[in-house]
Amino acid sequence: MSALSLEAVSVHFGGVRAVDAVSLDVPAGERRALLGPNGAGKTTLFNLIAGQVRPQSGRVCLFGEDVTRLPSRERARRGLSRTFQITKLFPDLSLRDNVMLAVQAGHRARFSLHRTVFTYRDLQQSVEETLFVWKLDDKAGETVRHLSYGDQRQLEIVMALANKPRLLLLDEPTAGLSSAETLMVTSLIAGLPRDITVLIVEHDMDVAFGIADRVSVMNRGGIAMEATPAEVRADAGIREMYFGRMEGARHA
Amino acid sequence: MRVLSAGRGIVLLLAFAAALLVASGLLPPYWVGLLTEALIWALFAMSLDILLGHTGLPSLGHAAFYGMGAYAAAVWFLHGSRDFWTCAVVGVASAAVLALVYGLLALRTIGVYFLMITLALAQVLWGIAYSWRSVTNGDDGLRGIKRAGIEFLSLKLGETQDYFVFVLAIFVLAAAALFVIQRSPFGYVLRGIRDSAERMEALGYNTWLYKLCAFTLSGALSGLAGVLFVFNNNYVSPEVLSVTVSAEAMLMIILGGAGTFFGPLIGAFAIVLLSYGVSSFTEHWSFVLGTIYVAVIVFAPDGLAGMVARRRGKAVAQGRPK
Amino acid sequence: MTFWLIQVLNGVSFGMLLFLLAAGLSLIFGLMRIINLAHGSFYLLGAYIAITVAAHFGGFWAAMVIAPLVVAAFSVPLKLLLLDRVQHNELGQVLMTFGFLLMISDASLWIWGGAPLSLDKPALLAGSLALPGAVFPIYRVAVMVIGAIAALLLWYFVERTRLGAIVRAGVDDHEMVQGIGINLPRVMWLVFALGAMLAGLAGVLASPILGVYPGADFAVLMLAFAVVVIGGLGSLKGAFLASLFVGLVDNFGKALFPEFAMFTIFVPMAAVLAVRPTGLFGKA
Repeated sequence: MSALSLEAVSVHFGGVRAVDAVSLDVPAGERRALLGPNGAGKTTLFNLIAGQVRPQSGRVCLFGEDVTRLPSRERARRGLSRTFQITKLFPDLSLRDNVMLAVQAGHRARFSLHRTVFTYRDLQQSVEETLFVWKLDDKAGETVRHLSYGDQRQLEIVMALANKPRLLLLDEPTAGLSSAETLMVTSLIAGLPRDITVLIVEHDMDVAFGIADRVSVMNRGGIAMEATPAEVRADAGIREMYFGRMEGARHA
Repeated sequence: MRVLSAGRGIVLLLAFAAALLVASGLLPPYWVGLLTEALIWALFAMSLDILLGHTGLPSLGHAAFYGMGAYAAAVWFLHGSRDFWTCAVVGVASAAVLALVYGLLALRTIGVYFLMITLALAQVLWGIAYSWRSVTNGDDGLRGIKRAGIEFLSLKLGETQDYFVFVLAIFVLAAAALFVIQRSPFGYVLRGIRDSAERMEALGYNTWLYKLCAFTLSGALSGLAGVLFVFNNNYVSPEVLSVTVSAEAMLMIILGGAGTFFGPLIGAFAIVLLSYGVSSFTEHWSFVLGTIYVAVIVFAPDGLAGMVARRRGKAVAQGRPK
Repeated sequence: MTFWLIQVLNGVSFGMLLFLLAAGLSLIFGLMRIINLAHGSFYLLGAYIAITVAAHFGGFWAAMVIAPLVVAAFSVPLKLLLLDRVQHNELGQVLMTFGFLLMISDASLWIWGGAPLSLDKPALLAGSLALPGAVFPIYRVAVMVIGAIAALLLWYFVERTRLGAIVRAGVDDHEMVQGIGINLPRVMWLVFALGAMLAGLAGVLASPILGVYPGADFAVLMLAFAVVVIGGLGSLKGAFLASLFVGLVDNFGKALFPEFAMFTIFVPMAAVLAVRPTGLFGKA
């Protein structure tokens, strides 16, 4: 069963073909990295999968279901979860409240007006569990605005995981992190259970190769290569794509 | 925004109500009338704050719902039945329906466009009230919406003191309801939408639907305030639909602190008391009010409640479930 | 036949006045995202100051030149010292301009009193034009001419000058313009002052016909607002066409259905809001 299946999707803005007839298949449980130089179309493809961009042609299927016409919130309800490259948390709410909103999204109570959140024991319990598992309970009361950048990025991922998604989309999760923080995030992702399929867009190739089972490399709106990390690493064509005529310079 | 702890919030609200009740027994009718007016404004401001402070939608045309409640109740009183409760239901229902329609139109925009369209929609209603003389009597307004003779639970609403108690009771009920709503899952979703609608959508929430519900709820409560207003004033004119009224409610919210429970209440009382106080010294209350607008925006955009919150810093613990 | 002609001419001349107001309001919004609720106040001040200037320094023409400049000068500190302190707070800016409205309104009442005042038409324009079967005031013709000239000058400024190009770019994409190093803040207060000046000029030109009185600021703001909503924010073409439309509709409305006078403007406004919220020519 494939978790995600793209069939010849194309996106163009005016005259520019950001995504050109891309087909992609990610089997359930796989860790797939999406790489490519700047301008290759990774972001557009990512947003297309997430539901923020509509393709002009082609199909997007999630666990066998055609979701091409569905907005991001409908995809979220079908098990898709994503992080944002620029953290989009709720800055004026506490960490606990941020997690609660994530957990609440899947809860039947989410339309309720007549009872306070604290009266939903099971909801509160899920929140406490999540905080405990991710070792966030000591910071739970802090306003998110005041958390460190590293903590915020970790929270981004935790919120995306709060509702037990089937497909997790990670948008440059280690951007702007120190090497210690990067290590923490990488081990977090590597430690995820295999019932969650992961698609990660990354600039840091070591991180990507460390996590991924398979790598899809994009260039100029299309998929240039799709193979295992070792194969991609060894490929001369890929190296040239990234480094161009500077080939010798890196090992100088 | 930290949410006030349940115990402390309710206690403060009841203490406040009790204090007002006692005061009303001791003060002359002029002052009691002032307090009634302040409570009506507070209700209006609190209902607008559902949109402004909690959902992040700056509606500059909220007088439309306040005025709709007032006019609908007035017209029903004069041409339908003189029963207070029927008039009230007509008023609130009309305001709610209007809010639903206006919400459908306005929610196609965000930010400053939303500001503009809500203002414009209110203007349309003002224009209708001004022109439709056969129903609204235009500029001259509708007179004779009397409370005299209406009784409720041994309160003679015709008496200033008794009407105050009645309004206070309704205010406390509405405030308590808002207290629960603000701390309900729905309330949290609104604040999530305020902070990041995109994130809420990514989590799976239908943000448009929540916004529409908030808009309608807010409009209905504003309509209730309008009903209380028209029976307090015995008169309604297109003035009640003007941008002046909408802006003043906004000022009260900002002065007190948007998104907080007591902010709009504090702001409403502050402005009403100031208006009476300053007007007793000078004819230039309008000018003073103008400077208050400018000063609050420049010096205290988080409002009084916001300044208190900042001083206490992040050391204050979240309201924990007991 | 002549009845219709007179109404059309009245409507167009009124529309020209509205254009002077709406153009400024629209540009200020387009460039700075400020809904300037004090725009009617600039009109009010223009009229009052013109009357004072004419009474003390001689005549209509002096007033017509000086008053708008005074209003423009007055607007600059409002922008630089106050509005600029709350740059990214759109709601705050709107409320602040409302504060200005209240202050200017009250101060004007105190300075010029509550009785309606008006400016005398200059001798040159005092007569009437003989039309088949009626007469039409030359002054109103002059208003139309001045309005048309202003429209042309504005068009030229926005479409053909470098500064105008910056304004257009700023309306389209704020961040981009600042990113390429153009001093947008300076352009912004210039445009604000220009808008205020035009509003002041409208006030001067209107005072011989409509007079000025406490509350005119509100009345005129509502009309300008209606024009900008219908025509679209940030669009001069929209402002021009919508001004003519509103001027004509208002005039015909008052002539044909006096009880529904206000209504005739608000219905098109509501229709536009329902169908295309950013206005007919608006830049979303």
